[in-house]
Amino acid sequence: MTPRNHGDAPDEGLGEGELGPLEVHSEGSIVNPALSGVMRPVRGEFGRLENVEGAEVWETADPVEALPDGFASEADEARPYVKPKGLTAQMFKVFIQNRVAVIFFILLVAITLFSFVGPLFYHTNQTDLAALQQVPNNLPPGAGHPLGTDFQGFDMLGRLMVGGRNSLIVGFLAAGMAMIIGVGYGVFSGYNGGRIDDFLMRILDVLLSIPGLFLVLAAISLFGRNTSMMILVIGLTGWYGVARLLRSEALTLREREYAQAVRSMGGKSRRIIWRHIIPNSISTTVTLATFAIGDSILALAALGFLGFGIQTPSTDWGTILNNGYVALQLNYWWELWPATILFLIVVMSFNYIGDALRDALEVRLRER
Amino acid sequence: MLVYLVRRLFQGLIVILGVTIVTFFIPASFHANIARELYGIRAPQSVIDKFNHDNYFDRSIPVQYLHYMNNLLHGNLGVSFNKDASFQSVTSIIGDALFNTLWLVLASLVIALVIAIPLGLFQALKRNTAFDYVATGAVFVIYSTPAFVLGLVLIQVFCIKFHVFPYSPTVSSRTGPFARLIDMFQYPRSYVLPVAVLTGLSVGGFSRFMRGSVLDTLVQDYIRTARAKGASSNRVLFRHAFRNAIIPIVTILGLSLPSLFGGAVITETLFNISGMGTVTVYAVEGNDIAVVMAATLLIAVATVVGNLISDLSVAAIDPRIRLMARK
Repeated sequence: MTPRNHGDAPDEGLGEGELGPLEVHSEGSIVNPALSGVMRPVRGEFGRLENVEGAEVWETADPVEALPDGFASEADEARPYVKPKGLTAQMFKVFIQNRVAVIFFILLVAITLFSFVGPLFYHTNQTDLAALQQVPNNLPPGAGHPLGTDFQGFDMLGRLMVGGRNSLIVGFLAAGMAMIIGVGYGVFSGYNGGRIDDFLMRILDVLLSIPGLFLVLAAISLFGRNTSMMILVIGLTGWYGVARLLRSEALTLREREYAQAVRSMGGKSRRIIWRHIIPNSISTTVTLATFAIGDSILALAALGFLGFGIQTPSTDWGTILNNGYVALQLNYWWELWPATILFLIVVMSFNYIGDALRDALEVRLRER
Repeated sequence: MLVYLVRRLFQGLIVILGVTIVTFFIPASFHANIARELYGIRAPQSVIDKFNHDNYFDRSIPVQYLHYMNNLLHGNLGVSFNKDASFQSVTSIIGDALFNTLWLVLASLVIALVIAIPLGLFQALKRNTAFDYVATGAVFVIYSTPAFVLGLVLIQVFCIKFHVFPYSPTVSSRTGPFARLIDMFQYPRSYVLPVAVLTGLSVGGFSRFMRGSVLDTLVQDYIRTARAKGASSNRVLFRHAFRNAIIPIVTILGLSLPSLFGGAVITETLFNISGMGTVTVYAVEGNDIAVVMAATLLIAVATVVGNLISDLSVAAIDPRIRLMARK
């Protein structure tokens, strides 16, 4: 096997058709990097070697993580080889023990269904401003309009659905963008370390000292209230924290034995990053993503509340709150409080579920 | 300490320099037509050219940046790009707004700490009791309630329903950087709600952090040593545990500034207080990127200075930081 320099050779994974690390392992001398990280052989919840309840017998092994035949059959002879419960399964188990988190999760699913599926069953005019001339404005809840109408005559219940849909879509897309940038930046910085890391972290210091809201407002004053622009800018201002945490994860993970093993066998940086660092920080990433969605929804709502939300005839929850704030002085409670409650539940759900996920993750680590 | 101070100051300057690059380049990349927008389509080309020449817009980007920095160092934040503002200087538009916001944020920080530190301490001491659970739950609700929702609830309850507090703070005719600070002491009742909203934004995070920090400290070896040598439990708590537990809080103080300034924007809009938030929102409505960027820069500088102060305070409390810096 020819030694390779980092990143010189074209990327084709480690040793395809050559003596790769998996073959080496069957000789029993070198630790399989895939094993020492994500998977432990037959270790129960309490660290004993036992058949864990709910653990499945190792038959349909993942092709990516599959063990060489020789190893598996040796283990089969010694004892029935069971696949340890996966990370997701363990986290799920701890997560559902947290009753409050489960309640919040159900509420979140309900509100998502309400926003996306609701309009299919509850038809209201949410687009045609001209047709609204016929509808009385600020109508209190009653027959025909379960939550009344707003200051333009839009049906409030339908309005909540439209606003919820837009808020959730913007939240998810912006958070997705923030996660991709943050994970990429953080892992790149932490993995490379040294001068590159120093430089990238100084840039992050600069960005961290500018409140994101001001940058988003600057973008709006330059480009106007354009929804895709808002997603872009909320995403572009939401990744700093993610980058920081992923950077410190990468800093520790790159020194782990399995990363060193890959390196010593001539594996490229890309392999270490994609096969070891990112999979091992997936739980941090999932937790952070949950918070990121909440934060993005909040950022959009803050914009809407300041009067720079998604433009009429469409809307978002922040804009509804902004309009409802005006109606508050007139005691039109139905224009403000239902939207406030929905919005608050969604923001709290993402916060609490993120917390619960982090706890689930810590418990998983303790059980190891 | 001096080495640490100088190094930290230098780092702060670099960050501020980075911020000026951001605040310079965002408008510089898009202001090609600003003169046209200001003077209108019918203005003669000579007027446009003169405006561009006077503002260095016809020069190369590095020269423009140097001009911008030169202006900044002379306290000149540039010219407003708002047509209706009739070429007012940004400095005069912002005026005392920065100080108004600073007093609001500082007042809320002080109150948040006064509440959060004892609360977190008691939660840690009485951990896993009913008190702890109730406090943790309440803190979580406040922590995850956005500023404007908290503000709406407070206004509904205390202004509209019960008329306990006025809706908008009383503003005297005083001017100058300390005007609003004096107002706060003169009319404390009218500032309760806005300060409460901003306090709610930070108090949850602080008390959660304080609880965790005290819990971490209480299991340290030096606490056991202090107990073993016979120190009274009050002495252990306040001389040994508290002093160590407070260090992360001081760091968090500095780091929470950006979100607090963001919250101040919302609070000021909500309660109609003149400050950086209202100035910025007004500028965004008028597409006045010059004012928005100047506000961003000022807030960023305030954040960097705040971080610097918090880091230096940590170094003052914690000798380990000072010693590490010497190496």
